[in-house]
Amino acid sequence: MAITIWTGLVLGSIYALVATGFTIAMIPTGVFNFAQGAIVVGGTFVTYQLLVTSKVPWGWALVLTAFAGAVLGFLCEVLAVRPLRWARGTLDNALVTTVGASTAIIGLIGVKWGYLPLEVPFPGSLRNVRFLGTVASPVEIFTVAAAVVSALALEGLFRYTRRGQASLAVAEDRDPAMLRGVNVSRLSLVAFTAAGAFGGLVGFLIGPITYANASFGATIALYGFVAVAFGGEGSFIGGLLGGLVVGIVATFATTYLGANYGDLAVLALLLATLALRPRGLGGAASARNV
Amino acid sequence: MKKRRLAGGVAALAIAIATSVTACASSGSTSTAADSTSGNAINVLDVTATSGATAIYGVQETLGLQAAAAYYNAHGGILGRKINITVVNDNSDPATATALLTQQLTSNPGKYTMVWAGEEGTVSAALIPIMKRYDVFATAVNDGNNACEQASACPNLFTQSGPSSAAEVTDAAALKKAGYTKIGIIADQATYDQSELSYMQPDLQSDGISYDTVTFPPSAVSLTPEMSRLKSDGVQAVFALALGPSAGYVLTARSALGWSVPVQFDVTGSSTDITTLVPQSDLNNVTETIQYCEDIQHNDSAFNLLLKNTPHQLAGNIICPIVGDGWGGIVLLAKAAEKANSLSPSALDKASDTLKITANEVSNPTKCWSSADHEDVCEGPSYYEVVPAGKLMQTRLYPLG
Repeated sequence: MAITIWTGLVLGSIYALVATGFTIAMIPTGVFNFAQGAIVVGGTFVTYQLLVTSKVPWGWALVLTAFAGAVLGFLCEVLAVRPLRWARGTLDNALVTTVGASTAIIGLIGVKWGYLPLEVPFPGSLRNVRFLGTVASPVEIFTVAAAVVSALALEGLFRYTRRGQASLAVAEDRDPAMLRGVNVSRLSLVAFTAAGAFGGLVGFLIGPITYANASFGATIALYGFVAVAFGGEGSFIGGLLGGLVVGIVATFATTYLGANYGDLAVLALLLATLALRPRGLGGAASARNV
Repeated sequence: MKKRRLAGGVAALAIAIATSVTACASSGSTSTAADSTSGNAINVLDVTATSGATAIYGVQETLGLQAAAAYYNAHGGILGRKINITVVNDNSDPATATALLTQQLTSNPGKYTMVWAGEEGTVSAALIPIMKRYDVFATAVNDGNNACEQASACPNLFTQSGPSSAAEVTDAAALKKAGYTKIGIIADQATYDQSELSYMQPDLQSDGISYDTVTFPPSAVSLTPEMSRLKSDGVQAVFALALGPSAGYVLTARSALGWSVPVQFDVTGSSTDITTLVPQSDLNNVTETIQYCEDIQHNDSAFNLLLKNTPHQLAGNIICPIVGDGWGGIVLLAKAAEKANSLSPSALDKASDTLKITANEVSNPTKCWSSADHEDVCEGPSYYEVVPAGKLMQTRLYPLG
């Protein structure tokens, strides 16, 4: 039981980290960047390239992977989102274009590194830790901690800083925010770039668990999407809770009912949640001065 | 304004590039080998995966098809006609493969002399009804569900592999030889591994080995709960049907549990070089299954040149048999056409019914089919062997060692 819970927490933390990346870009733009999963996977491959092939010190590898993610995020905004805004002033089709961007990124990864999984080293200790009846590797502990800390920190950042509140203002109503002098276009670019950098860092972190595996991008994007829907759009803490719940439910269903029931259990839970709370766990409407 | 136009132009260009990359990676088609503008070319449609979970098979099979086409084209073609291969990417998805094949056969009636029907058995099984409906000569690695053991159910598909249980017979025999009476099976929920599992279970029963089975979804990133369950069940060995990274997850979980149980991977595990996924210390008591593969004796053949120049990473440890399947597809077409002296579907089907391709032309010792069975009936368990992990290159007939 303890092993199953811990495995679910680790899996859920990966989904939560992807959900956090989604939310960083979503708050100021209202756009769900489906390519975030591909950016995370891209981060695992860049990490492999830097640590294994190029033998770059891990500190520099961390910085460069974040930079690579930032570039991908920047390109997603410029190539897949901005043209829609120019064309018709609406971002309704951004989900489609970011899916295209995701496919393009995964395709390019396949061309460069192929479709076989590659082992990504973890710079820290490899010694497993036993506690409360389970066994955990240091990278798993880091992953869970990173999911919790990043969600809490970003929630605070967006709620209590001027720039974060500007993002929330844009999220709530775009036109008044522009009239108040918020540069919506620049904010969107910054948000996508920041989300990309975060995605790169997530790739650096989870690579030792998942391997660098091109096929994984669509999977984590999908479950990250479910985590956001479950937790509530625009809420970092909601995304964290959503990811953890999805990971634990899927792992329990898979372990005790069989592999066929994992997705079914998650879907049932999601439908029940949305029926009872259409805005998700953390997405309740509230009036707020910004 | 000028800056904005420039940015817009750059964006449009980049989108065009991204779109074209996307198209290639999803469902686009590419042609290779003979001049595609030649109306006299023999057109082969390669429905395969160049992306997704089973791209590790599709990419290699396509290389084999292309190498054989290049070889025959350099030697005068088939019945004097050059071969042209059109590749469409099903993204490892049977539904996509079905749609692509239907689209190609509907919009190009009579164009294709042969279809390579999918990168693995699940896809091939989904394509069988379409090939029957459009009456097109076809080959693939296997049929996924043994449908082609009855030629009437599979009239125009001839598989490169024999009975799908051949590898599993070898696996079960190896487990029996090791003296195990109770094993655990850990299997990917992916359809390919599930079909392999269905063949393995009867073999174990006939060998008197009991088993507990746990399955996991392709989205899993840790198999510690599943391996923990097998450990609790007291199994003597674990048989793993794991494709790609999950092969590494199995061994990582075994290590995390401090468990030294022997692990035997099926032939899909060999498609990944397991030794690159886990530390050397995690490879104790680990074996994997390899398909017998022999050198094709035409030393100047594209197949041999291809194998010598193919990056090992491309195909894990089993480059030769998988590339060899694609190679064998074109050899089948050439031999059937030569025997029938025709390229009509019915003539090719009839010729293949009694075709026997002997050593030196394909990577198997012998390939043959019968009018009652459209799987390679010459192939049997002796075409496979179980070896320690990381030692596949040292198997007896592996040509690259």
